Amino acid sequence: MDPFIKYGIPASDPRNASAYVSCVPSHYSALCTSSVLTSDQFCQLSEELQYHLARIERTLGFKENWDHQGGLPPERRVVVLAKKYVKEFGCRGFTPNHIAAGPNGEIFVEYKGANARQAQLEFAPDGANELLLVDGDEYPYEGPLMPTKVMKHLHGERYTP
Amino acid sequence: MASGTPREDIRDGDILLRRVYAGDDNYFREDGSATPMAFRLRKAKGEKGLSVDMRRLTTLEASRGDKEKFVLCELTAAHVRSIFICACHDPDPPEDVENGAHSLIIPFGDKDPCCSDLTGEEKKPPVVLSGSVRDRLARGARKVQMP
Repeated sequence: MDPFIKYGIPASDPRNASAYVSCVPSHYSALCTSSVLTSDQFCQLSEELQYHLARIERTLGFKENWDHQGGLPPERRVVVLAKKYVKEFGCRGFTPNHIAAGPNGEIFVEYKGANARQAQLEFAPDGANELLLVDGDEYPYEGPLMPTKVMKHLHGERYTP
Repeated sequence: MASGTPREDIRDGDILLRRVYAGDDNYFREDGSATPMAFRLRKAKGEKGLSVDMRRLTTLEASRGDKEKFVLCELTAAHVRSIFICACHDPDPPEDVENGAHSLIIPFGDKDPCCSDLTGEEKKPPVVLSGSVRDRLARGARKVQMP
């Protein structure tokens, strides 16, 4: 079943195509005169990517105790930041495998690459955003979120500290 | 608070049940596998360990609670210990006073001294419930199929 239908998420969401993208693909860089660009000007967001952005957006509707175990709703700034990263990675051809809210108001974004590679991003309300790189049964990196590490890892580059 | 249930040692073969909210695909991927978020400590509650129930001291129904909201994930104590984390029986905790099966998946440094599990004692730096540990816990967990 189409995920948009399955989850009742609108198939298009103009709000999700108009947030900031501070860094765009290199082939567009010549066009940039500002670091603040609307993503739909320079890269087409796929339907799947829009679906994942909508999944992030919908967490703004979560209330306290949303998971019936004391879960805290994500704050707007966490949602905005998560969407910004997902769009930027999306403009580079990466689409999340899974999006979720966490019990402390986190937004969890998971990417899958080739050869059992994964990148797990956690956007936290305290600003301590985390990255976990997974390569099969190994974890080559665990620490603060660094976008270049995500892209290199998903592109199949060997991790170097 | 005095506990009415005697504390037991958790054996490697014991199965631990974790109650997880089933809605909105937050703690489970679309393929049904648990995400590391299902094993995240709740800072607002001051959690130091992950609450689970020891399978042999409860029923699946009691452990799950409201079937409209929750599902159970099961994992073995051996798996928990394989990543240098303790599995400790913690019966009748203040937040769940009549749950004699209640147990904790907890780093060695945070466990109650009454718990005899010494898993991870020798680890320097000590193993904590970091992202990679949560991912390993999630990988070793299986959703329990219930009617």
